[in-house]
Amino acid sequence: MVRIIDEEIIGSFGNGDFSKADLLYHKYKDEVFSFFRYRGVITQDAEDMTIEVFERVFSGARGFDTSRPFRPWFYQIARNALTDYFRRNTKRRIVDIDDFDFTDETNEYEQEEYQILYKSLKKLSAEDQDLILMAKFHQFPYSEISQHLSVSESVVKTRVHRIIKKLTSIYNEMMT
Amino acid sequence: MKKSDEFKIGRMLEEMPLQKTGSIMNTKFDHLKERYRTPNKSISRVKWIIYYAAASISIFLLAFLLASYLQQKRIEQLQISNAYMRSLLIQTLPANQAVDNQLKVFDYLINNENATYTADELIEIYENTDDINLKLASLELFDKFRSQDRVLLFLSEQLQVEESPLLLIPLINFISKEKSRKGIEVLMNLKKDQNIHKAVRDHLNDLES
Repeated sequence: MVRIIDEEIIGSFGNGDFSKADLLYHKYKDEVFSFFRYRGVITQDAEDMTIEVFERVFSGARGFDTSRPFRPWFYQIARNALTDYFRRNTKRRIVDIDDFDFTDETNEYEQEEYQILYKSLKKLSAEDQDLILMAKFHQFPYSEISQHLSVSESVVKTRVHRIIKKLTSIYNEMMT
Repeated sequence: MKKSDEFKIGRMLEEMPLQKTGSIMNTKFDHLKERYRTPNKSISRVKWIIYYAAASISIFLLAFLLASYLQQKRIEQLQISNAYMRSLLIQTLPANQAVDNQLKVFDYLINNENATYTADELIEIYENTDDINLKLASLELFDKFRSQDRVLLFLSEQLQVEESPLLLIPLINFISKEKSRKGIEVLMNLKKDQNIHKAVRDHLNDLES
């Protein structure tokens, strides 16, 4: 049901009607901002890139097929923006853990746990980080991830399981 | 224990807090939205084409008007230049004693001026010169204006007053070719004249026979 609404909004963009742009923005702005932040983009750049993603959505809305789900298309745009960013910024600033905001929804103990989790994530390869974040944090269905990676769903499940195992191991090492 | 750790890590990943965007982002988004909030892109494209076409037509029209104006100005300048040249030639005509020079002036007048004006100028020159050669040359040039009544009338009058047989004979030829009533009348009167030069009388007789 939610998806249908998203696709309808994009369809209206294609017809030059941007009156519902705010709905889409407020629904996805923190999600796409987090997408960039958890992949190591500094705050200011992540903000600019978030706006850039919405701009690409606006300009590409006319060519969007409304019979297809919006979210994978949206994340593909974010992913392309991220690739461009890393290509442009080969000597990018290293993101400090203190830059992250874990204060809103967690207590002090949990904040520390999340900081260690983030540090553990950074020890994984870029591909593994992307896959685990897509599967767990962004909660993309395995079927969509398998389509994106052009592998079977069972392969995705196995990879995710293996990455979690590895991440747990790193996490436990850092805790001790 | 280890399994529960993996489960916990999975759960933590799912519940990782969203990073919040700053309020400045909303302003940036509003600017972005404003840029895209156009009624209909296809209409604006059509409008753009219309504006472009209107601008092109306006430029073409302005260029055409400018070209017309410049051409008109050039024609006026040429007319002024011609008038000046004509005036200069007429003024210098008496000073040009050589017949060749005077004929060049006539040639110029014939080629560059309207027929009525040139015929008038020729009549004036013919009347005011005593040079027989110039008068003979003028008679040749009058041939180009023989369709004009004023020329025929003028030369008929000249036939009545001219005394030199050198001019009378070409005058007779000119008038006789036209065969106008006035011309024939003048020729008949001339034939009756007892004081007429013998060569002229002989010529008239030859023409009559």
